[in-house]
Amino acid sequence: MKILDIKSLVKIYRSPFLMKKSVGLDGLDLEIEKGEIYGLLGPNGAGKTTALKIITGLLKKTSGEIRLFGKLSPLQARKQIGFLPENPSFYPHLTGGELLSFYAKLYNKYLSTNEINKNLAMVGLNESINKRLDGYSKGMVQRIGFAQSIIGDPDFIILDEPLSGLDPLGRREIKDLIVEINRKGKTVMFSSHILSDVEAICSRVGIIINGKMKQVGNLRNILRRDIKFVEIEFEGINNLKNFSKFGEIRTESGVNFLRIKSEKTRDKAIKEITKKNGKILSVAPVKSTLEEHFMRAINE
Amino acid sequence: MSKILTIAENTFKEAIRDKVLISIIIMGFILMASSKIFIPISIGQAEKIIKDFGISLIEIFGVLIVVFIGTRIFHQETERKTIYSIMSKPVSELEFVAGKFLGLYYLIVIIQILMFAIFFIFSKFYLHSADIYLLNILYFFLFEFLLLDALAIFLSCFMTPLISGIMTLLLFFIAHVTFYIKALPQILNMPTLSGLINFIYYVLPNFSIFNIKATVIYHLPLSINSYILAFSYSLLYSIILIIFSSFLYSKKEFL
Repeated sequence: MKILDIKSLVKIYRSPFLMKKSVGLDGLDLEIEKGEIYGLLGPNGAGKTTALKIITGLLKKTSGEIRLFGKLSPLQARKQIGFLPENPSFYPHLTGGELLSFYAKLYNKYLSTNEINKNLAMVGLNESINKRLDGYSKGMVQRIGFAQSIIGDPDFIILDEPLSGLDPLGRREIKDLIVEINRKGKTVMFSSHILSDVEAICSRVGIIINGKMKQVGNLRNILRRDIKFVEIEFEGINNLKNFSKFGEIRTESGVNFLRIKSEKTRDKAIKEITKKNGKILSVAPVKSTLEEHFMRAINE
Repeated sequence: MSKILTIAENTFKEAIRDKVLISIIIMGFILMASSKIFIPISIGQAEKIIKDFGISLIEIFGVLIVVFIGTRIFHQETERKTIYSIMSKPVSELEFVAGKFLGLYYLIVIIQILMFAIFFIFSKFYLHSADIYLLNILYFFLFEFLLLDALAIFLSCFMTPLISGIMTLLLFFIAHVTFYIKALPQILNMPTLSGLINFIYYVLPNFSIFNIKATVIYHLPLSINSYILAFSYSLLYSIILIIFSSFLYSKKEFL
């Protein structure tokens, strides 16, 4: 079942006084299936936040079509959406507990103190239930932002840069939480600049460049297509002269590593090693990282 | 309705925890206490002067609070980006605008009651009597501020805080003397303008119907119709303004 289906979404920002136009989205297509963790990637200004804001109703589309949960009115759809904005900011006069209670009420949910405590504990803020938000650090604001995005028990959670401003431990905790809520059947879409995080938890990614979806797909498939070379690890051969014709060769602590770029050459190299009584320790394809793939997509 | 009340409660809490508001209330308290200086120079008119001064002070502070808070109410949400986490939730523009309007109105009601209580305490202390008939003014003030609250909210939907603040104040003063506007074509001897002037007269809120201060201070009788008119006019006009405001707000984008 498709949770989100976007077709040819266009957003043009108009400056009323300067008569200037700028394109935020230029025919974006995007589909998200139920139960996915979808990572939205793209350089600054690519249109990630614009897309997320249009989905959540904060911005209006210029043209195109958005279907949320089939075809719901924006207000009905918002009942099933949780959103964490980029660099979130919340009412400084409220305490952590009051803030969660306030947002829960907007979903017509009335939480007991125990429930509020449980939600705060989930993001590691149970000690801060009575602390006003103007005393929260950036990391704490990000954590409570995450808590408010899931407070209404929505089916689809949209997170705009949820890991920014967090220390490595905090990032790990939020990533674990994303995986945990996904296991409970929630669909998660998030944008991030930290590609290793996206790589670690996303089942699919989409790369937006200049307001268009440049590439989309299952992360494994994207990276499988991107095998940079095959590395053969072997030992027992000291004379490596003949091997340089297959590819790049180096030796570390008595173990040889041969990097080969084509399958044909790989088979030939394996034959040669066996012929010379060498012992093959491993044959492993080395894939591009998501970061390398992302950089290539930008440059194409 | 529960979402409107939730937003109203939050707006009220935010305002009440604002140090600027507390300073305004303390200033009002000090000024009211200072009305004692009129007693030695009032030549037998102390009671009238203290009543006039106190009531005017309550009204001025009410206007200032509505203008100061009401015209910043939406701007602050956008500037602080708190609007993102509200409008992405299942909250309609009408619920949001009505919640903000009602939250500010809670505040005005509490402050008005508080200031009247302080005024009565000082009257009792300075004049050795508290004129309960003056509570009629509180009734009219509450409906006057209901309308002013709606007007400030409406203007701040499409104007910057500074401009909407100036416009709210300006309209508040003009709307106290709309009967002069109606007479303008005759005074200027320009009958061709009467259509336009009539339109302005009927569109502008008429705040003069809440102005019963002199009648009450001199203990003149008030007709039941003036109570009904103040209530119904203020409520109806405010509802229309809030509906228009929510329509305007629904056209907004949050960049």
